[in-house]
Amino acid sequence: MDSENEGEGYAWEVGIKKDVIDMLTKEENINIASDVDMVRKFERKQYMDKMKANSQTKSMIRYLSIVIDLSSSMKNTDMKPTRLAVTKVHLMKFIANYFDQNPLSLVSVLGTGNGRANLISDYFSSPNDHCDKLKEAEVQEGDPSVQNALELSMAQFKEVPRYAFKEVLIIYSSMITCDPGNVFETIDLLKENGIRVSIISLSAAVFILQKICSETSGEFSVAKDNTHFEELLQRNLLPKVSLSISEEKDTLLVKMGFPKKNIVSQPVICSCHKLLNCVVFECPKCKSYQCDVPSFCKVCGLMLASSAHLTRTAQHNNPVDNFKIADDLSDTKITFHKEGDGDHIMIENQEIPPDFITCKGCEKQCNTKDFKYISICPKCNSYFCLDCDIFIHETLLSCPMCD
Amino acid sequence: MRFFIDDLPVVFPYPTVYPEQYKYMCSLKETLDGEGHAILEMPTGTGKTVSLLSLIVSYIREKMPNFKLIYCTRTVVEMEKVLEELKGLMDARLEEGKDSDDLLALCLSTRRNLCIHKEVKKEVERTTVDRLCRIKTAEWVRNDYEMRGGLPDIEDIGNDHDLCRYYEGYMKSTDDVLLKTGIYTLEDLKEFGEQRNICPYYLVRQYLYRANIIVFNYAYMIDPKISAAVSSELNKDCIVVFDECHNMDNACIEGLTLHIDKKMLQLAVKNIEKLKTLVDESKKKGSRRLQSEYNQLLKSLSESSLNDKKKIRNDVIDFKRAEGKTLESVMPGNIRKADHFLAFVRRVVMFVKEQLTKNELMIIHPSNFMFKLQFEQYCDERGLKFAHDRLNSLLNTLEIIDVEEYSPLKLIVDFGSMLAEYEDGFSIIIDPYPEDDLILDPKLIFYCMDASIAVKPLFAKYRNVILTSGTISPLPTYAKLLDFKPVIMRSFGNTLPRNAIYPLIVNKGTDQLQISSKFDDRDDSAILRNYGALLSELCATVPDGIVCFFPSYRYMENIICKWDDMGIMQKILEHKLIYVETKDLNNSVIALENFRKSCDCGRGAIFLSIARGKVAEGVDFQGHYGRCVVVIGIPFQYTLSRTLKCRLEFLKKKMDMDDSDFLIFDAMRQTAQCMGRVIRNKQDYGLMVFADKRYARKDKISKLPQWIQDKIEKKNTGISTDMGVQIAKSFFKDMSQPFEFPKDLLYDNETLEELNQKRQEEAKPPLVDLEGESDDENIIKISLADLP
Repeated sequence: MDSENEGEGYAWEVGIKKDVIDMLTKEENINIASDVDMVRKFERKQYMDKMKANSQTKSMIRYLSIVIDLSSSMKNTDMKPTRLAVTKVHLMKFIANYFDQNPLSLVSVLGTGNGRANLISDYFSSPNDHCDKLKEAEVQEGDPSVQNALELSMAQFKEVPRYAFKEVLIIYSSMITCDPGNVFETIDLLKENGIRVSIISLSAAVFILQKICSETSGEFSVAKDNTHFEELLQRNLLPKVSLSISEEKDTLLVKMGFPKKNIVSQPVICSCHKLLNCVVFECPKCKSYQCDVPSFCKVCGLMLASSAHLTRTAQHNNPVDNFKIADDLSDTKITFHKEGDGDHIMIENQEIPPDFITCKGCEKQCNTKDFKYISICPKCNSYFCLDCDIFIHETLLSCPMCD
Repeated sequence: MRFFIDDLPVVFPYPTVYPEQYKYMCSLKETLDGEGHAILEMPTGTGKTVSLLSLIVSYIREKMPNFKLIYCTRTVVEMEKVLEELKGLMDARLEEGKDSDDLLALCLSTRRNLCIHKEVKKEVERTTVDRLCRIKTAEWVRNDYEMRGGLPDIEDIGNDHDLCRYYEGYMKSTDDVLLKTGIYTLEDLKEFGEQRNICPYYLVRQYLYRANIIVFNYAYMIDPKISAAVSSELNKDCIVVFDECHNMDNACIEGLTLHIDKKMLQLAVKNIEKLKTLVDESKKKGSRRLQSEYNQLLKSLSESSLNDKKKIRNDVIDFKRAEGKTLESVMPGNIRKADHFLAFVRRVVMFVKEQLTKNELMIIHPSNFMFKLQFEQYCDERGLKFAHDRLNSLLNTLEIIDVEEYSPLKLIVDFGSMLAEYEDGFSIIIDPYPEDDLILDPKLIFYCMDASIAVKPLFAKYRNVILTSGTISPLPTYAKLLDFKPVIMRSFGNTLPRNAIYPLIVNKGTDQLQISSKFDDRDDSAILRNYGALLSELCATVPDGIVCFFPSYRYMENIICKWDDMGIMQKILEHKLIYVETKDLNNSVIALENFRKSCDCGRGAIFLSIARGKVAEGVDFQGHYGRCVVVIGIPFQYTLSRTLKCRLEFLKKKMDMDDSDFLIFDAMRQTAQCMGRVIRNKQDYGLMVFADKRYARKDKISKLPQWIQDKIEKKNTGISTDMGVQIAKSFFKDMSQPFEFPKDLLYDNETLEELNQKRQEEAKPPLVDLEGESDDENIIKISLADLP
């Protein structure tokens, strides 16, 4: 390395160094190692809160098609070992989480490369099926085609029931798209059909991708590195506000069956995977056996779910209120008491900042100096650390202290 | 919003002000407070135009109601932009209740842009439109109609009539206040004309003197051939703004430089013969016209005053204005008669022709040339001086409609008139091989070396002249070149919360071989390959559009051929479509349009162009159209050019400016101009790649505008291609993150108030000296002591 570039350090240091320098210039913090982490988590919380802020009806049953760019740019090694490998790992995790969070929703996986788009796994596959097929996906020659991928997913959506909410998530690595026709017409079609397209780019902001997202009220983001990429994927876990299309506003009846769980002593063959199973679910309509819920009955096509799944899905529509940052609250308390008499202010002020606050979730001791990273539930006024805050809002979906 | 700078209330059409805009306005106000001129540099994409307009309009309305603002732009597109901004500003002013709507803002452009005649406006060429217009509005054609029983009714004049209904409408309109208030863009003017059956072009020309704000091309101010007709009647109470004026010195020089080649001379001879036959015919017919013209010339030219409206028609060239001297206006005797005049001109043409046959390079001082002309051909200076006016008068008298046909003769006559007028700062170059060493095509260039000649009268006449641009560094050089003393000379930075401008100086390829566009290395295939590798790797890294500039057409053509052989073009094509600027303007326009389309639809594109071409000068690559700009080599001027050599010599002698200093200055301003193409607003970001080892030197960097210099980091100078690509990768990832301009960096009403208070405190001279202060304290003490 040249002498003049000595200060540069190694390429892998650049990202971390930058974060640290940013932080040091912003405020005088001491614990650097945990702080990089905290800053990221805090950003995640901020984003989460922003998304929660509008409490409109969320889409309950989602049909998500995930498109992966399979062009040669996926071989790029700026994410170790390659972009494709990283994408696969994160996607598998994502698909598992997705079914946890949205039990009644479905996923399909598409790939694009060589100017074409092809199906990797369809809507009726189980999470494990998706993962198996995803593992086999390989890099193709030539450029990817956004338009073809979108057209293909639109064709898939045609058979989807009307009440479902249609989403496309594209993971894009290339800088260009090789399209057979006018992409802008495709965008118009997407808008007409109320399909939301979100794109995560692994390289840089490309105009047409941004345009597609903004036109279909999806979200465009660029992954800075491995962890950031994972975070961006996570953003698509929770259902979003449904796009309003006039006809969708009517109440629609969804046909659904609640199967009986049978534990049999003699294994039976399930209709879905043709495998022997001891624990099976019996379709209430055609009495055939399924090995897992939620799913579609392979015989009569009925949607099978349990009541727990329904509750979980409905829970997204009454989310936990955003937790406040601790300093916000101390402010409100003081102003509140100011309306009374002056003496109270002093007392309240002294009471609030002890050195450490115990998190009600994990009993971690949080330093009050970092009040930014302490959240308070606005209903029950319990303190939570940042980790618990994120957990409550993303996974638990209810405040443990309120209920 | 509304805020105060000192005691001046300024209305700004946006709710917040950028810090640099505020500073810019403060400097502007300082300039306007006194008489004098200013050079202000503010980066592109910071809202220069709106700051300028807000402050000057506020200032004029508050303090100097009789003053005019003359805003000179470079292109029609920019002109429209200014007027749009102005509309927004006036809406804001009305909302704030700061203004009654009695302001008139006009723009002036050529006939081509303003014509509404159904047939004429179809023409594309400027000269054709001018010619057709002149034919349809010629005075004698109209006079003929009048003699034969009056002009036809306007409604009866169709499109193929030999009169123009709109011009007739204009001549008939007696209403004095057709255009009273409002802001008129070109489209607005055309619409107005259509509605009222009035020619917008002549309408604007007439109302120019009443408008409070005039927006036009800066040729109307500095090119003596047209400025006299347009701006000479503006009085000195004007604030003149030259926007994007980084090339002003070249524009001034071009305005005063004439090129005469053999073909022109032959055509001129034909012109003379034709005129002679016309004169003879006229004589035979016994027409009294020539005689009456002669009589009139005897009296004086100025007394043959045409009425106002007609005067506008005749684009009289007035060279006197430029020198600021008044000449006795009587036409000298030897050219009063038409025959004599034609013989006189013929002698001039023959002399020039003879000079061109000599087949050797000559650089002659104008006075020498004049002396020879006088000595050999007996053409005196006074005669030459008036030749221009005399020709116009003759063409008028002979009722020649198609004036364009006589442009070769006009050129020669212009040359004569200018020769008689100017001496210093000019030189005559006779070059037998101007294009190539092998092609004999003798050419006479009457070359203006001193840019200040064209602008000096402006600086002398108008109260405030403001030169502004995004790239006008180093400021003192401009003051020197244009020979004036600015009262304020400032350069402003760009408030950017993120590193949206990222200059990289790449000086070696991946193989550590230094890269340069130096003349000796032009055919070095290793360098060409390294340039190719740089470009193709950038293409794979940069999203959407890239603009790449080469020093010259010849270099570009050469390098593209070589790249094609090496397979580099193929590599680039994998990632971007390639568009190339050509010498043909229309082709380039089509290429640009398709370039934009490719960027829009996600295919990505690269535009290869010339650092001194049209694209570098006037085309913006905002947003995704220009995510990266690469300047390959340093765009030095062609140093073997005769004209440049003359100018360098002149600068050395007169202005004490070193050859290399000027050359580097010129190359760097061109580079800066190219670089500035990509940053057009605060959301924009772009990578700037300087690809030449010579850029890393101090003398080059120091001549870049401050706002680019500030962003050049030490570690980014002198890097190799692979490192550059790595940096580019992380740069685009960073820039792609969601970005919002931080609110605390903007000035809102409150901060502006504070700032103004601070300003006023600073401006106040200390009222009481120290002793006085202590006295005051004593008094208080005493009074306190007295109290109990």
